[in-house]
Amino acid sequence: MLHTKIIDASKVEKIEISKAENFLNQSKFGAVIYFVGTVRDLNENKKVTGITYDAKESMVIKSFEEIYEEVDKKLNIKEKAVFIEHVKGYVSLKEKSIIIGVACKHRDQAFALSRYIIEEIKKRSPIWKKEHYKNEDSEWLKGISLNN
Amino acid sequence: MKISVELFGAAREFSNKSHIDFEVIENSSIKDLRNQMIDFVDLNFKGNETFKRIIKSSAFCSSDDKIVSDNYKIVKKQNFSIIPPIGGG
Repeated sequence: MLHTKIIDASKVEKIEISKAENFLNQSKFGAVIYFVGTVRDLNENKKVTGITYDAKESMVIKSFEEIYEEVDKKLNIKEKAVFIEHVKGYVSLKEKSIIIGVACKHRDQAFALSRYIIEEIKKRSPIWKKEHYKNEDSEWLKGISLNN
Repeated sequence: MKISVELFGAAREFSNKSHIDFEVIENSSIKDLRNQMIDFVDLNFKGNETFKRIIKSSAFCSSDDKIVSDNYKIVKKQNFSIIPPIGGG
């Protein structure tokens, strides 16, 4: 079971753990883990006030689906539920940018799955961050090139 | 023929619009398109080296969301996206 969505920060719908809880709460799973990415106030000695996230939505969703599909082989986790939502647009300090919720039968699977998903998203999903600083500057952060 | 390149991430700084249109010759390649974008930066941003680095390190994807190589031939009117180095989460 997989749920994926890009949440537009400028719209009414919010990124919320309660939605993940509703999706993942099933009697066949004994371990549920939530990874929540939030905006922190300092990066490379610069005082951050917020981040604007950009995303190529169709490719991002496709990458989430591919990551989910390959877990069967890579981690040998067949029974699982995965909830992934990522924000697009401006996010203030302490606010959530991503929620990855996973449910598995056992805790070792759930820890491994959660870690695997966030690391693969960092490497593969076309999402970009523009940091905004206290001195009113802003900067697109360097990332990983998909140009092989 | 005219093609459109949709802008993402740092490449959004290249224009106030969400895309830039380019006139390309049939059978030109993504490498040619990349060079045209560098020429665009030379012309419009006084050769901004940061912008050029972004273009050189970016991937391009077709309208069906597949990354295309520099050798990919543009044989019909189609749209592409520029995918600068990523880093979400």
